[in-house]
Amino acid sequence: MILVYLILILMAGGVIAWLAGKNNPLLSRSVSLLSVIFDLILVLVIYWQGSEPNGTWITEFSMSWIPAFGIGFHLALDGLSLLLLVLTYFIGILAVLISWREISYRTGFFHFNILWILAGITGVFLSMDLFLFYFFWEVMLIPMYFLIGIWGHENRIYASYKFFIFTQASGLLMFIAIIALYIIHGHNTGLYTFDYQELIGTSMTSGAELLIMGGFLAAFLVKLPVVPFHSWLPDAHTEAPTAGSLILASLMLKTGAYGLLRFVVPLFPHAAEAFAPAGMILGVAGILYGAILAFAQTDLKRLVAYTSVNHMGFIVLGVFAFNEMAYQGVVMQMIAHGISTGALFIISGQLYERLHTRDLRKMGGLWEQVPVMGAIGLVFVMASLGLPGLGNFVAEFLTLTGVFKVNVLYAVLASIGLVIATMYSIRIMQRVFYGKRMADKPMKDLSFRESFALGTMVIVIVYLGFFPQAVINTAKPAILNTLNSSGQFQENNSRKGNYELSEEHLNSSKPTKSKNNAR
Amino acid sequence: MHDSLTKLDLLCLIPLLIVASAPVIMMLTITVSRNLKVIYGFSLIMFAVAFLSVFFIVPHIPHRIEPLLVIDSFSLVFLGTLLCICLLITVISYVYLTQHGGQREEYFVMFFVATLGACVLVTASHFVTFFIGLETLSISLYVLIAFVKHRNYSVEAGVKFLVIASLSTAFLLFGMALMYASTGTMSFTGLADYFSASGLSPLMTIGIGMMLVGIGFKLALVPFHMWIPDVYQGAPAPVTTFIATISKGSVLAISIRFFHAIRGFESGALVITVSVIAVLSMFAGNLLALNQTNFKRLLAYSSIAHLGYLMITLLTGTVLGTQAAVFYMISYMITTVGAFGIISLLSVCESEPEKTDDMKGLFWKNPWIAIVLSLVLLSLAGIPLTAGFIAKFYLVLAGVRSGLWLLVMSLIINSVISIYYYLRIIKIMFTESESQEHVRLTFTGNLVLAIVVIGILVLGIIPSFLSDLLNRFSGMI
Repeated sequence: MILVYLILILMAGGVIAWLAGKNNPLLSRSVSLLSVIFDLILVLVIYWQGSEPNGTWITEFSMSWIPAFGIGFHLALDGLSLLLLVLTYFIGILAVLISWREISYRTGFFHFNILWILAGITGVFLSMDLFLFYFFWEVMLIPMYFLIGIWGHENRIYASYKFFIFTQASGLLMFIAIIALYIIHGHNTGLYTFDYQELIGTSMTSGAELLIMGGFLAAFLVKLPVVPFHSWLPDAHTEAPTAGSLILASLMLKTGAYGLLRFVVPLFPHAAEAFAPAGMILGVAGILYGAILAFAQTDLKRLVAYTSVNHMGFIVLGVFAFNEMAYQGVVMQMIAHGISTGALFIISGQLYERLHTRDLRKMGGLWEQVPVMGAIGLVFVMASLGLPGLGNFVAEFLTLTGVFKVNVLYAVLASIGLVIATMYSIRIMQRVFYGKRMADKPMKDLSFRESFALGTMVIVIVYLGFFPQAVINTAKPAILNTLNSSGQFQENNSRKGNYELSEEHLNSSKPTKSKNNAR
Repeated sequence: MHDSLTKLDLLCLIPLLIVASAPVIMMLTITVSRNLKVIYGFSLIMFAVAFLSVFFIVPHIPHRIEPLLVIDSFSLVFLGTLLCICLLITVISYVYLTQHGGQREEYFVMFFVATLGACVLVTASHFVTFFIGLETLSISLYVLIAFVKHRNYSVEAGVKFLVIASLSTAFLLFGMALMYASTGTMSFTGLADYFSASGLSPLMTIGIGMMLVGIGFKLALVPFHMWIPDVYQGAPAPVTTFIATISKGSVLAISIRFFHAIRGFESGALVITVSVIAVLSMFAGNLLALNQTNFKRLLAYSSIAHLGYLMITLLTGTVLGTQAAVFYMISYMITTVGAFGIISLLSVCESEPEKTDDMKGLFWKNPWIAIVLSLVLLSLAGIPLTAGFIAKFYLVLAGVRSGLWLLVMSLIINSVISIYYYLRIIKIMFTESESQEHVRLTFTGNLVLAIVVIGILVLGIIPSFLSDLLNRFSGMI
């Protein structure tokens, strides 16, 4: 039941915030802040209470919804969802905090949208019924469309359309795939149901499996995004208000990654294996292409947006490597990228608030004026390029090691992507905070609220860099489940030997990484 | 076959009788004294009573009044929905008519006659009742469309509708004649028996083709759709609502019955024809709607697309297909009442806010109406939490289950296209505008909108009650 509350609190909070916003913007802000905080506390309680029992789920809720079609309201939470929910509410709190001053009109409706997006995302991370999953998948879209379309920058209308149509089109393909899967399963067993656990292991011809997986992949790869389908991302990220960019980058992209792990691999093991070579190529292409394009941008937000394409490439690469180490890397990457890229978007938002431009050519030499912001920016720029000691390093390192065992060439190519990542990351620092001073206007450094938001992010990213074990332990059962249900795990284990992850392992591997960097 | 009506027959016809008696009483009242309020109140009561009487019949179904009418769960669901929607349109019409002077009482007389035609259509199981129902509906619509005659385009729309409707009726009649000539029967049960025994003869093919043309005109499917934007635009908004919901819904109901009687989904030629019509309607409707700046015309084009989607259900030939059609039509009707209802409720004197730019800034000027309209548009686009989503789910499910992949894919492509123009209107509503005038709605107007919102949300979130009801259809076909 607690899982239902997570969603209900956000939805109700959203409605209250909207109603309150008419007369009292402050009340609306506080209501939304409180409801997200409340949700964060709830998931943390779950985290501290629940050591994983024998079953698959830490906690579960199930009731029938539309029995005529075997549609259930089935929510369940395992380690993976738990981690992502913690991330969701953490980022959610930040999203409300950083909009405190930035959003000055239609405050109520703004917070309604934020909370409903978070509710949709929560639903996506918890749904164990494919119909319900699709339902929440779509619920995220409309409020995001409003967020970009109403509070965005100058080209917002175009960006909001593009975002909506890309995700909706790909989502509908997934919808058909879900229905096809439902019908095939019903045909085989006589049990027509959308329940995830029932549908796992549905037997079908390899052609059908490939096609149906194609529908799922369409939705997830567009959302992630993977290179040929990424063109909505730079526009949406750039035009969205800061909170919108933050949620898009830190949370919404993760729903695509989550979908790959939760649905594509377990539901279509054979097709996923057949697709793996192509998938890994897409991943590598994303890493290289995203990095090169990021390097060429002059718009700060657009630059950061392309770094997401770069970082998400690692996720695709890792998912199709089918081993535990790569999967740990993927989970780590979801969280670390959520924090680091989110922080970079916040910083660009704060720069925009002060300079009213996102153009890198008009910035420069800002360190003198805003040293605190500069220092924090440096941390996240370093995180983005994968500096050891910060979360992203652990993620990318694990992914690369996992991939290396499957395909050396792709691992090498992906490492080259890291080199380019270093180039674009350092370019951010150089252009914004170092060099000649371009603007004469006096600038205020971070306020307490802003430095509090960014400060917690710094703590989290450093913590993840030094003590990733907590995340690894939490995610482990879920990852093993994914691998088990796909039948890949045993195979890999017997072929490649056992790779238990321990802290020792991590520590001993750091030198390898610096070699990669040096190349 | 009976020689005369039995008591049970009469009982089953109560809703129709009520609807038929109302205009007579009203006409007599009008000859004594004119009072719009009285007539309005009387209409409300009669519709409400007719609607409630539907529930009295439920224990007696299925009941056939040979050979003309059939009262089964299918017709009852449609009857109930039609009467319910009529109730809403009555309220909208009254609010609309109070903006106009002159003699307006006859509006409701014609309204009832049109409704009677629609009710006959959904219960018809014979060519004669099919034809009578259709003509009763159409002839009263000629009058209704041109009712507010000093409005722009009103008379033009009436005449256009008259010509098109006569033309399509001619096709329909000729088709019926050919069918009769080759099968020797005019009742649907007779046709069903005939078709299960023997196949199509060339004469019959022509007959069915002619009837398809007639039905195509009535439902405004491509290539018989030219009239619909003009009529939608020209007719007073409440009448447009009536055409978009009651008229289309009832014709769809009889088409489903007819198509099942002749087992159209088994004949290759028919399947191809209907598929082509469906795909063309989806694409043409949506593409033509893309850049429309007139809201009523936009909805007209979108209705072409929606009827195109509905054609999928005809081809499935399954119970699930019929359920999908009914669910889709019901949700479409509720949504459409919302859309046109807002236009009528916002209209001041002769001017209806039919330009899409009239909606500018509505989100900030009048959030309640804007929210309703957004919900309506999202439902038309098939976004979750709304009725349209479950309806689309039904369609896709029925289509995929019968292996109609081409049609389903074209449905998906078109849903994406359609999102563009539905979002465009929503976007217009939240762009800022200078004017700050605030339209106040009457209580009953708000009530209608509230009912629409509840309908859309309930069907979208807890559709079980309707889908359980529809599950009783299994015995129908």
